[in-house]
Amino acid sequence: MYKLTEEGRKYLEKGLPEKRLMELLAGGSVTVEESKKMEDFAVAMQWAKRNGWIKMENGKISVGKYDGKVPLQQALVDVKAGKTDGFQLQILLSRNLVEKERDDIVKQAYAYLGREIATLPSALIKTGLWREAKLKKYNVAATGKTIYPGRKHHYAAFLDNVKHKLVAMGFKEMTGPLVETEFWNMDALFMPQHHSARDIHDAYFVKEPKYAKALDSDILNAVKAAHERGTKESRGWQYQYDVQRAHRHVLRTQGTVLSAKTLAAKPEIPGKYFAAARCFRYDVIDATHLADFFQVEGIVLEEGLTLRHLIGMLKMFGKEFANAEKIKVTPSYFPFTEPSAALYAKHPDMGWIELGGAGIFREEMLTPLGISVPVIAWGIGIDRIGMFNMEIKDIRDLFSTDLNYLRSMRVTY
Amino acid sequence: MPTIEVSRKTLERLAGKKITEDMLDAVKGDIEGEKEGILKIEIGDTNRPDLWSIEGVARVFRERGIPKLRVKKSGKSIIVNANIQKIRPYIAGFVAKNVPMNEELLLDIIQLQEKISENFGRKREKISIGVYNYRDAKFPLHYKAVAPKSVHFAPLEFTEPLDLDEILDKHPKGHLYGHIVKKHKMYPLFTDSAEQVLSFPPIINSNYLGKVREGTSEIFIEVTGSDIMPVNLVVNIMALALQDRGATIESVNIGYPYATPLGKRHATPYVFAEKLAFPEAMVKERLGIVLKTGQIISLLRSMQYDATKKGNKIVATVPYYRRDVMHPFDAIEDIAIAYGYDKIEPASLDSFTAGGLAPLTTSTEKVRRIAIGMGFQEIMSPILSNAADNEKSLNETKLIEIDNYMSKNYSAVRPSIIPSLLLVLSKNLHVEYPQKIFETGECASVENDEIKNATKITLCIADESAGYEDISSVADAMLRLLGVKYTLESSKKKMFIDGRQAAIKANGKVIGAMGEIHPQVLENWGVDKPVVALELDVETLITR
Repeated sequence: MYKLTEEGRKYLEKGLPEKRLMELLAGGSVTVEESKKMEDFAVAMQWAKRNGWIKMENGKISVGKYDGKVPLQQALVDVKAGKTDGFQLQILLSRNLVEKERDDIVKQAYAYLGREIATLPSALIKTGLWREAKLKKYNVAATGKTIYPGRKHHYAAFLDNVKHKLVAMGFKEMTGPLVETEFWNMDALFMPQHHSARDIHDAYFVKEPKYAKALDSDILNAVKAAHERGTKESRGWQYQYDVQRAHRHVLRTQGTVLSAKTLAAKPEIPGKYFAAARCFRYDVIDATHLADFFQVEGIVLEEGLTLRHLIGMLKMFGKEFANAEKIKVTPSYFPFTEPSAALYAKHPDMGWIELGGAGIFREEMLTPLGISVPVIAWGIGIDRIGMFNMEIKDIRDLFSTDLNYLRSMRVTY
Repeated sequence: MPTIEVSRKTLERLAGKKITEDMLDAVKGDIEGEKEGILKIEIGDTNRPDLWSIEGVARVFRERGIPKLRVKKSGKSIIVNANIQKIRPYIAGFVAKNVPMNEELLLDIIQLQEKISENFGRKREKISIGVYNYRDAKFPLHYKAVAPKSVHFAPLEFTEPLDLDEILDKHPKGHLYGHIVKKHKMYPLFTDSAEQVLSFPPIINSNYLGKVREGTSEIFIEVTGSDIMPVNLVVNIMALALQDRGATIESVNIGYPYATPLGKRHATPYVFAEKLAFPEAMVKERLGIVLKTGQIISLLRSMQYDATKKGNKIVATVPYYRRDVMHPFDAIEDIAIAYGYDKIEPASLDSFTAGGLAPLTTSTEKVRRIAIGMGFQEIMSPILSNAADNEKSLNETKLIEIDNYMSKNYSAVRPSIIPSLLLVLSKNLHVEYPQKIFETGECASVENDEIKNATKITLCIADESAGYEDISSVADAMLRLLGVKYTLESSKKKMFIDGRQAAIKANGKVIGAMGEIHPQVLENWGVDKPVVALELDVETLITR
């Protein structure tokens, strides 16, 4: 059943706005300004135009195709009388002149009364009959159905946290490709081409294409000269540098490659940079080693940096990233830093654990890249720290693909 | 990093004091374990072969200034033949007499020999060391190149004579090191003047002249290699180690028919005396600590440098058994080590710098948030994959394969994340469905003979009722929320079902692909539910 709305009742009495407009025009064309004075002018114009009853010329409105019949006016009368006509009714409903009688909802709502119901239906809320409804009491102590929401991978969340911490410390992020050249991965770090210093980085070499097409020849020549003859204060490695080998493609073995590239690209001074880079080493896969792993690496460039700043920064990292009470910094070795240092944290069960390494970049490395201020470089074995923080014993669980495990992992970060 | 095994008793006797773990900072060493009086020490410095022996470690705790190598002349010679110049041009050696050779010392010598030739010598490519019974060899000795089939001798642990090719073929050391000589037509040989073979460097000694036993009190040591300085460095290290154990050292004359950086004729051990001069202020500049001149000199001496002051400069002489000191900062690091890192007051970084994530990371974080919002579980897979996984996925991109892989499972860089996620689905067949998973990460492939790196986001839905519209809605939501205007075009990838796949384009470029995974691919992976997948290139999604 349908009934007139308040607006519908008004138009039944006064006539539809478009009907009233046509009556006004019956006495000849009228200016827009003039016709604006009538009630419901905008509505009248909208419908008269849509029906094609009027035309507009030089700011005047006159009668167009109009046969004097207004079927909708009759439909209002019919609805009032309890009769309905399909097509006109739809227009009346769309113009909010007619609405469905509440009786239907009321009828529906009554059907929910007189018994205990589970779901609270919308008919009860709309009609206010919820006041009389009996809502069933649930066993609220029962556990809900298990759902699996979208979520971050636990280790990705940890790494996000590390990145945001470094950003908060004033570090800008560096990114770069997985496949590098020996030049950037090793030579630019002053690691000689045929030397045991490369033993600590047993790399994966790319089968095809074996060599990169081009390297920046200015930087290449500067690095070559530093390897062969050294720099102002240094005698260098003194061997014949192989330019072809410098082009050999390798999978990135260390994040330091990104630092070298940043240094060669006119960095800010003072400046701080970091990267969380996937790296690859020739290693057997077991509970503590993976073929690919993350390294968080960074540099600090500033006039006047010394070993004291390096030690200060490492101690802060130990507290920030490993939450360690006891920290120590000891001498260490990297082919590209001098002096070099290692950072250890005391683990309650496992004793001293190495968290990472650091040093001040060698002058023989910085000069060819065009840097003349001291640069502190540091790297942390972030996988290991992530394992400690999330109490994971086997490194393979960091990258677990077991969906049950991933879905059940506690959200730590 | 080299790990050496030493007797604690002998180490402390040679050092003249008790050794604690903290003291090993001076040699960048860590105690890896101790069992029945044998200490396992890992030496962190891969550029100081002088420390890879019990004698070398003990020396740091015993000596002040450069320890003297007392060399007598043996008057004996090694004659180098011109034909070895292009193959393995340099040799040096010395004689050690009065060697108190017992089992322990013999093992210590072998250990030092192995650590040096494996690590510093790049698995004998650059350096190899031979130890011989001095009394049996008839001097002068000859170092030359010979045709592989022209010489026969019994190598160590063998009794029958073999020619050099047979040795490479049959002897375990031939298998390990044969590649070093195989690229040449002639092979190195070391003989005495009676044409008896001492060794076939760098492969193996003769079973007769090249065998040293307990009780051998006079030995001859020879080092060959590709560069003259490292060869002589190693001779110096070996000679000093033997002197430290009580032997007397005698020199050998080397005669080259070609010019060398040390001349045509010289005696070895060849004691270098490299000097570094640097202003005192450089110590403060690098370390941040203020030391008096006397302190600097004393700290250098405690790290076995000789040091004096000349004008406002410190002149440090580097011990003849080190070649790693090439810059004043190298000596200055030794000053810091002797001073003790733990005594250095930490300083904080004062300057303000603005931090920030890389644009690629910011974009990746955005797409990850949207994926999580749509109910996807994030995955982190290894980046290393293999050709088989790629083929199983009917992926048509050209792979980057690794030449020297260790495990076939990890022998290529993944070109796409779809195979990684299919692997995950295949391992979780009994886990509750729907399985909605995603991963963002780096990929690389070969395109037009060049390496193409990319960062991708890939989303997969595996479910009984999963279909194309499920993934096209995900794509629409992702791109709509990122404000990327895109169009879809039907595509022809083998990985997806024909007629149920599309290439996603924006600004005229393909930015991704999606579709229903082909049942052949599902069968290959053993996945028994339909899977739909979407992969987008994150770099193309970077928006402000």
